[in-house]
Amino acid sequence: MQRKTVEDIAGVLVSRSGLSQEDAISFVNALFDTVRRGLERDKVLKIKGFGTFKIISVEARKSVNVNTGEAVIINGHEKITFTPDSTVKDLVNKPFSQFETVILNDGVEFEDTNIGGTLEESAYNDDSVSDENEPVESPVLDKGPSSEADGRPLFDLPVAQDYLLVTERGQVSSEHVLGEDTVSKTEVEEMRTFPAASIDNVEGRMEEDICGETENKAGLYDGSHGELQESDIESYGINTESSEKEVLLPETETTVSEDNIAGDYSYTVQQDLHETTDGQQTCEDNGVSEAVVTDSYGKSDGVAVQTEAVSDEESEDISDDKDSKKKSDDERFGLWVTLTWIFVTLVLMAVSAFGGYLYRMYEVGGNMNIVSADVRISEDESDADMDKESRSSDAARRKTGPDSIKAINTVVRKDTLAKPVIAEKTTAVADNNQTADKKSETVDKRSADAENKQETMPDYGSMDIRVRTGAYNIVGLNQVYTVKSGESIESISKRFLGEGMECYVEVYNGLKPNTKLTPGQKINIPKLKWKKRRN
Amino acid sequence: MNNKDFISDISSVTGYTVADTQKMVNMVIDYMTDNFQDGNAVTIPNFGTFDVKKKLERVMVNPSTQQRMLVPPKLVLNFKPVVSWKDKLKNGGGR
Repeated sequence: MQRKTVEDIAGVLVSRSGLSQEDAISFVNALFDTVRRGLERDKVLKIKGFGTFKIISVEARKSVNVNTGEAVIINGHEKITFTPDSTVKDLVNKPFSQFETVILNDGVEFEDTNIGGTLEESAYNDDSVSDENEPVESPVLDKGPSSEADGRPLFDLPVAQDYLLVTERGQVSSEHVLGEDTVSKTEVEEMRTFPAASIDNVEGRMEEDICGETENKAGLYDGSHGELQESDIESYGINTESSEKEVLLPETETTVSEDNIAGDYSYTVQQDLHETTDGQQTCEDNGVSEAVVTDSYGKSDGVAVQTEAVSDEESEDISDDKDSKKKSDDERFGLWVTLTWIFVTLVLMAVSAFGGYLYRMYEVGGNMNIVSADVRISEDESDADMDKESRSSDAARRKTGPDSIKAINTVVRKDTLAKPVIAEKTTAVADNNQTADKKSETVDKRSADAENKQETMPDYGSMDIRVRTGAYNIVGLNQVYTVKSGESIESISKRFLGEGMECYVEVYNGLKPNTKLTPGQKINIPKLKWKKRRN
Repeated sequence: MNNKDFISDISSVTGYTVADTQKMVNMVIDYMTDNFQDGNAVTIPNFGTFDVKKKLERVMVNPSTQQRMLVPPKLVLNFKPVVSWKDKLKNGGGR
C-alpha cells in the first residue's frame, strides 16, 4: 500500500491530457482548493462519480474527562465528512463484494464484535442511504476494465487475491455479482448462523473450519475497535488466510458447511488452492485437486459431487464450488470410514481373543457337549496317554459299536485331566453293562476293570491346583522312600522326579507344601505320566 | 454546491473550458479510485487524506424490528481532513 500525492495525480494528467507537469500540479491543487472553499461556503459539495463532502454542525454536549473523571463540556463545532459515491464504494469493497448482511437467528453469540458500530460508521450508513437514491451515472462496467486490467488485489492478502481471481474468472459484471449474491446469501447465512461451538471434532483446526471462523475472528478482535490501520489490515489478512478463504471461496459453499469438516483434509486442499493462486488458478487446477480428492475416497464421493453439482447449476458455477463442497463432504465421509475401520479392527481382535480362550478351554476338556467326531480324533491322539489295557479296551469298545455315550465317557476319562468324574464313569460302566450283550459285557468288564484301577486313584487334581494344571498325571506308585536327615520334600522330589515336581509328591503323600520331614519317614514317590496336551 | 457549479468554479480558476475541466476532474477521480482499489491512500496537502479502511464484521440490531443482523466485513473509503482545517472548523466555526 502506497501513499499517493498531488504529483502522482498530476502525472496522470500529464500522460492523459498532455498537460505539463507544472500545469497539472496547479490544476490538482486548484481542484481541491475549490472543494475546500465551496464546502466551507455551501456546506455540501458533490463531485459526480466520486462522492459528497459535507460540513456538519455538531451541538455542544456533556462528556467526561477520561483522565480526571470530571465532567467536561464539548463545545458545539463543525466537522467535515465525506461520503463516497456508490460506484466508488463498490469498487473499493470489491474484494468483499460477495458478502451480504444476514439475519441472525437467536442464540448466536458474537461477544467480541462491536455491536452497534462506531459513531463514524453510523453516520456513514445514514448518508449512504441518500446516496443510493441518486442515479448511478457511471455504470460499474466503466470502472471494470481498469480494475481487471491490473488484476492486482486490493491488499497483499491471499484472501483478496483469491477472491479477485475467482471473480475475474467468472467474468465479473455487476449483474453477475448480483446473481451470485442471491445464492450466496443463503449460503452465507447457513455458514454464519452455524454455532461455532458445535463443530469441535476437529482438534486444533479451528482456523480452517468455516464454522470456526467466528472464533478466529474473536481472536482478531483483540485490540481492534472496528477500524484497522494498515498494518492491522495486513496482519488480519494473514491470520485469517485460511478462514477467509473458506469464507470467500464460495460463499458458494453450501449446506456442506453444516457438516463436519475434517481438519487435515480441508487444510491440505486449501493449501493446494492457495498455492496455485499466485498466478493462474485455473479451472483445470481445481479439477485436478478435485480428482485427487475423489480418488482417495472412492466412489461415494463421486455421488456426493454429482448431487451437489446438480444443485449448483442454478448458481453460476465456479469450479471452486465443487471443490470445497466435495472436499468437505469427502472429509466427513473419510472421517466416518476411518472410524468404521478402527471399530471393525477392535471387534475382530476381541472376537479372536475370545475364540482363542474358548479353544483353550475346549482343549482342557471341560466341555462335554462335543460332537463324537471330534471326540474320536482326540481319542486317537491321546492314545499314547493310555495304559495298554485302556487302549485295548477302547478298541474293543469301538468294535462293539459304541454308543455315543460310551465314546463321550471315554473322552471324559481321558481328556479331563486329573478330573476323572468318578460318578459318571460308574454310570457309564453301568450303562455299558446294561445295554451291551454278553460279549460286550465281558469287554466292558475288562474296560471297567481298567477303569476301576484308575478309579482307585484319588482325585489329585481336585486336591491341588498345581496337579490339576500340571503337565503330569499321577498314575500310581513308583516306590517308597525313607527320609534321611537333612532332606526335604523338595530335594527328594528333585532327585526322583526332577525340578519343580514337589507338588506331586506333596499331593500323593497328603503333605502340605514345605513340610519338614523327619528322618525315617516314609515318602511315596508317585508314578507320573505326561498329559501330552498339545494336539 | 452541485457538480456543475463545482466544475465551473474550477474552470474559472484554472482557465480551462468547462468541458475540459470536467474531463480532467474525471481523470483525477479515476486515478484516485484506482489507487483505492489497490489499497493505496491519497494525500492532498492542505486538504486531507483519503484512505481505505477495513471494517470488521459486526452485529447490528434493526431498531424497528429488533432483528439481529450480521454485517459482513467490508472495505470503506475514509476521508480525514488535514488537521489545520479541521481545527479551524472546530474552533472558529462553532455556533
